[in-house]
Amino acid sequence: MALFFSLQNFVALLVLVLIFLCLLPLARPFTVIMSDSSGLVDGPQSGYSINKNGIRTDPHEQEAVYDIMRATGNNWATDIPDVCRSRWHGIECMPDKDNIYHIVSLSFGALSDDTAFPPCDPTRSYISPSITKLPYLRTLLFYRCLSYIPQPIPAFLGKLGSTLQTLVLRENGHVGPLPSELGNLTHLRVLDLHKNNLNGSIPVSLGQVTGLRSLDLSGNKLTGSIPSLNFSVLNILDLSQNLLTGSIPPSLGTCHSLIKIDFSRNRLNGPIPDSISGLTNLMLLDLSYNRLSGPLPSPLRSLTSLQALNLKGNSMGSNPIPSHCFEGLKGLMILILSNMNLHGPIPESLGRLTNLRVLYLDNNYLNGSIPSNFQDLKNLSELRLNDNRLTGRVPLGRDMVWRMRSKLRLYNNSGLCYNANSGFEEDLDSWSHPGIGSCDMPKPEPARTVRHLSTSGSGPRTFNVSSDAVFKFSVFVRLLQLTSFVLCTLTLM
Amino acid sequence: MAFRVELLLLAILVSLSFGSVDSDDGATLLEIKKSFRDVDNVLYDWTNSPSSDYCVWRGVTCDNVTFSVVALNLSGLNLDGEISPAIGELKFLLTIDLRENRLSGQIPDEIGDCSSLKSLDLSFNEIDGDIPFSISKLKQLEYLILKNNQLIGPIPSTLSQIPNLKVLDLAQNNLSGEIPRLIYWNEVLQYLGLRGNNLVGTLSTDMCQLTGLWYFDVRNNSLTGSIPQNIGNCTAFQVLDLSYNQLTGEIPFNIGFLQVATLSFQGNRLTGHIPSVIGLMQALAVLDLSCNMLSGPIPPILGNLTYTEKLYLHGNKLTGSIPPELGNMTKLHYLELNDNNLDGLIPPELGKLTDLFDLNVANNNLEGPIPDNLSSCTNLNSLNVHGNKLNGTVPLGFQRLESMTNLSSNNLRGPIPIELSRIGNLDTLDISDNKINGSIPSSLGDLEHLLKLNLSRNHLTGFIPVEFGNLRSVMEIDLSNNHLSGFIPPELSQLQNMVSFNVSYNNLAGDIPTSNNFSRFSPDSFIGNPGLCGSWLSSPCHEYHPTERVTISKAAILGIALGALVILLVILAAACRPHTPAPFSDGSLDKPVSYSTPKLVILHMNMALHVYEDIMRMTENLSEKYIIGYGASSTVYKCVLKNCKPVAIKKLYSHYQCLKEFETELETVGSIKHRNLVCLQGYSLSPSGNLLFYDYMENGSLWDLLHGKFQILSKTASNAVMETVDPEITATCKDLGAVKKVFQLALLCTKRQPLDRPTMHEVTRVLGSLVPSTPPPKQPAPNLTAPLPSTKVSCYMDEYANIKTPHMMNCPSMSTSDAQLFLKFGEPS
Repeated sequence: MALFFSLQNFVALLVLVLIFLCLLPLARPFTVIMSDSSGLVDGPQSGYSINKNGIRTDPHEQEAVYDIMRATGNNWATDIPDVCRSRWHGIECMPDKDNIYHIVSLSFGALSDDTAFPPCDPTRSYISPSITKLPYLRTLLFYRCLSYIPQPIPAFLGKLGSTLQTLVLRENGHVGPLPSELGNLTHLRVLDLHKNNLNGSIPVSLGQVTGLRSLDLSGNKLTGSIPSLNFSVLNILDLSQNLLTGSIPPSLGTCHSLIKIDFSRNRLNGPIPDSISGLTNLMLLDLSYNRLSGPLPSPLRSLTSLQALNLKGNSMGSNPIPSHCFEGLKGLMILILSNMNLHGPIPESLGRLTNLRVLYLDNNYLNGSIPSNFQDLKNLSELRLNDNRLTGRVPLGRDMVWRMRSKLRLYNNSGLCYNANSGFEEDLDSWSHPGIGSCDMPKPEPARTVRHLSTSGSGPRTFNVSSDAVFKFSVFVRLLQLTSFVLCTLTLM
Repeated sequence: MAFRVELLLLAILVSLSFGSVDSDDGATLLEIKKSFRDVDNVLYDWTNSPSSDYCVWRGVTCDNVTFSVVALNLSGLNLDGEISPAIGELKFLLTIDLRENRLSGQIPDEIGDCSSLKSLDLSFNEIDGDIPFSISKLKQLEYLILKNNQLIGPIPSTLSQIPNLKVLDLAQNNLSGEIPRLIYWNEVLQYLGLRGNNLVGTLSTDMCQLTGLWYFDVRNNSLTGSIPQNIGNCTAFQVLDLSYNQLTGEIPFNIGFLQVATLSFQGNRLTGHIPSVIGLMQALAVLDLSCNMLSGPIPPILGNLTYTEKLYLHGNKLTGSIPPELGNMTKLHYLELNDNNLDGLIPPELGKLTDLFDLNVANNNLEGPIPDNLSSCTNLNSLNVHGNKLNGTVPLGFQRLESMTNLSSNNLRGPIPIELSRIGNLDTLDISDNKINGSIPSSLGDLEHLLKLNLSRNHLTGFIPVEFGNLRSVMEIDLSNNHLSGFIPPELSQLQNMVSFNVSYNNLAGDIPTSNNFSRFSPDSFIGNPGLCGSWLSSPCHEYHPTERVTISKAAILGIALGALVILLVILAAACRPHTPAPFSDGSLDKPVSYSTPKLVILHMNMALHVYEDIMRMTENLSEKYIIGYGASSTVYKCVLKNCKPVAIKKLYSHYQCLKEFETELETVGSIKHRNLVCLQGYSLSPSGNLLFYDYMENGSLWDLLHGKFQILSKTASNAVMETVDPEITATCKDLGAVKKVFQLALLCTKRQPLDRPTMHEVTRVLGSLVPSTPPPKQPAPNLTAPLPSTKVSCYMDEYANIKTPHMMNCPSMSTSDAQLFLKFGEPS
């Protein structure tokens, strides 16, 4: 029940309340009256404010609610003489001017122990077409309801176009494509279809729903490319964990209100469009695990609100990190650029992102030394530079090393060393930083191949290993050495 | 082709060998055990023997088919040490419950590998560091409960990428930064607990996107800005607690659309009027707007809130009169309107509130009489009308009142009604600073549970009733600034619990009783009584009015003086004779010095209802079976008292040589109240030894902690002190050498043998040498504070119940952090 006042309405409301305060004897309950386009009376709604006299549920809607409840296995509801008066959790009603109650919200499914929406009988639940007989319905929520009997999203939901504002069919077991009729829901603000088994492509008709504020289609099997987007008030866009292909549409840059974009775990390709620079409200951008290409676009730097950026697992092509790419991202706290086939040195500009808490640059081909201004990243709690080709002195102060503990990962580089005078060594756990020695001592042998295989990305253990485990481990290492030996022999042949 | 087959084979070989190491959950569990400390007693069945099936190990639950570990429940086992990174190997874990232990260190990154995890509960530990990024990878996670730890850093906005998060409880940590707007965009989040952190910034209008949330709690942070104008859209909320922040502006009008049961805005800087629409929020059970800067009248429509049990509006700038409609709030238990600018009468309609337990209208400008109707509030336990302009007489009919009656600082007239003495359970009676006349009814002596009696600053005449000697629980009596005459009844010296007694500025005469009890009261308690003579040497009677004592002959004076001298000498000789060097191993000494009746001196209220005999009876004369430990100087017993917290009794090995000195010292110690010190509740100098009574604290002794489990001392020896210091100190403190020194000094002070410990003089010298010459700028030092031993709350409904019971304080400045209080305490005065 989202209520938005215009100023006039607000003033009118205020005046009305004042008049009521003056006129009504205080013992009598009263309601603040405000009309909106739906013809309903908006006011503080609570179970207590329903007056027993003269107020009843619209009989057609009541029948429809019985149907919908029967369809979810909640036959008990049909014994209720007036569904609005005996309100249960999961139904909300509002009166019109004639004191007839209309259903504005219906919710189903075991969300949690604290929220007792009517449950769904998983063996026979379906969404009843009678839902279209609720002309005032604003919110419809089904959570984990139909998972035993997979069925498509009913196209008749499109008939709720004039009123429906929130449609949540979450983990509901829906199959088939997204019905293009959803595009008729022109008043929709929230569309949440997370984790169904929907396939097909995102219908172009969805573009008609211009008032969308949150669109969550994540965790489905949607294919095809992302259609052109033109949602000026969209805040949340989550298309993650689908099978989407094609490139990121440049029109994304016109959705100026976006604060979260999550396209992770799809098959998107092509470059990150330059138009992204228009998203100055964006806080979270997750494009990880796609097939994006090209260098990191320098317009990234205009995302001044960005707090978290994750581009992990996109082999962008052997490009360096552009030196000014992250220049303006003063609020950035999380930056994940792992497994991106990045080459060249670490730009010094990264060391100026002093709000960074998490920085992952691991599993790339970065070379050169760690910029000396990394010692200014005092807030850093996780730093991964492992599996690169970095050399030279580690410029981190001992307080940083101490603070990050095992979350500092520097192993598998070409020749990192620490300054003997910095006191680094007394805090540095030799187990968690293998292959790194004092800069004044002879360098330890880089053991890149073996380490890389043996840790397979999870990093070395930091706990003490029992003799048994050590034995197993050494056998294992030997096995791996054998493997690499055979591999080498094979390649030579 | 052959090449590929070979490769494939190798790949299989590698994966097999990897699998054989990885899937052995038993080995992984043993790794996890290793990073705990001293767990052999609780995890004794976690062994490496071949016959041991890890699925039956304590706290381990396995899948019936695959035998992989699906749940790890090790809550409340007093586990020490850290969470092993090996936990990431248990890929099929659904539940990790390690709450209520003493785990430290950081949350390991590897926890993000437990990709099936639905519930992660690490609450009530000592875990530090940031919330790791990898937690955002747990896509199945529904319960993330990390409250009551020492986590720092911001709330990661990537937590919004956990699609099924239903409970996010990060309360009571040291989290900073803003609340990320993104976590509000969640259809399934039910519970958001962020109280007790250092969060800043404003509340976003997006918070009402939490369409499934019922519990929203950001109490006790540093949030600024105003309450979002669209707050009324948060229609799912049932508990909205924004208290103890720095919120400004007015309460939005559209708040009336909320359907909350608890609305807590107290301790902010809210201005403007109380919106009348609050009267429409009929589901409200608790409405707390106290300690803000709200002005204007109390809306009469609040009387519509017939389900409300607690209405707190105190500590604002409210004006106008108390609306009689409040009498319609039939469920009301607490009504606190004190510390406002209210005027007019106390409406007699409040007498309709038959459930009312506590009524506080103190410190307003109320006039007129205290209505007799209030006596219909049959459950009224506490009444406070202090500091108004009330006139009329003291009301008669409060027979059910139990605890506090404070009628002080008004314009009440007439005598003290005898009926007051029928309120048998009364513990506080304060009628001071009025215009009460007549004499003190002797029946007041019937109030045997009375702890505090204040009749000062009135026009009382007549005598102090002898019956006051029956007030056996009383701790404070203040009769000063009246016109009382006659003697101080010697019976008052039977009041052994009395710690404060004031009869100054009356017309009393005669001798002050000479018992121990009375000699402790300073001359200030007696001055202003021209006829009163004390037995202390600096008594004004002896100095200024020696000739007035016509009733006593000079011979008598001489006799008394000689007698006193002899007694003094005897005491001196007895107390200060050369002591025997060896400490006594037990308390059964040769004859104790000179006390005939063992007395129990109570320093704090907790023990007020108990006497020495009770304690001896309950501990069977300090029987061995009540011993809980031996210290360097004492044996410690535990005694569970009726109706109050258990006490620890320290029986000192050696008797003090100078009793007086001992007592003085004890009273000094007893007067110290600090959160890091165990409170001295009382002491007794008895035949069975010198006994000290402390609050009983669980978790054993500090010495054991230092030397046993944490092994801090051995760490000092190996120069690894910094391992035990809070890492945040390294971030805020430039001179780590100083930290190290303070640390070592602290360790010196905890040496087992008192002789090994430095003297206070040495300590101040060392600390002085560490202080730079210019006083450092006062910075909040966030980690000086250890978390309080919190009440352990098992479920969220309990917590909800807790929140429904806000603190009953008069505008405590809750915004000052514990750290600041600590600093304040530490400041040289």
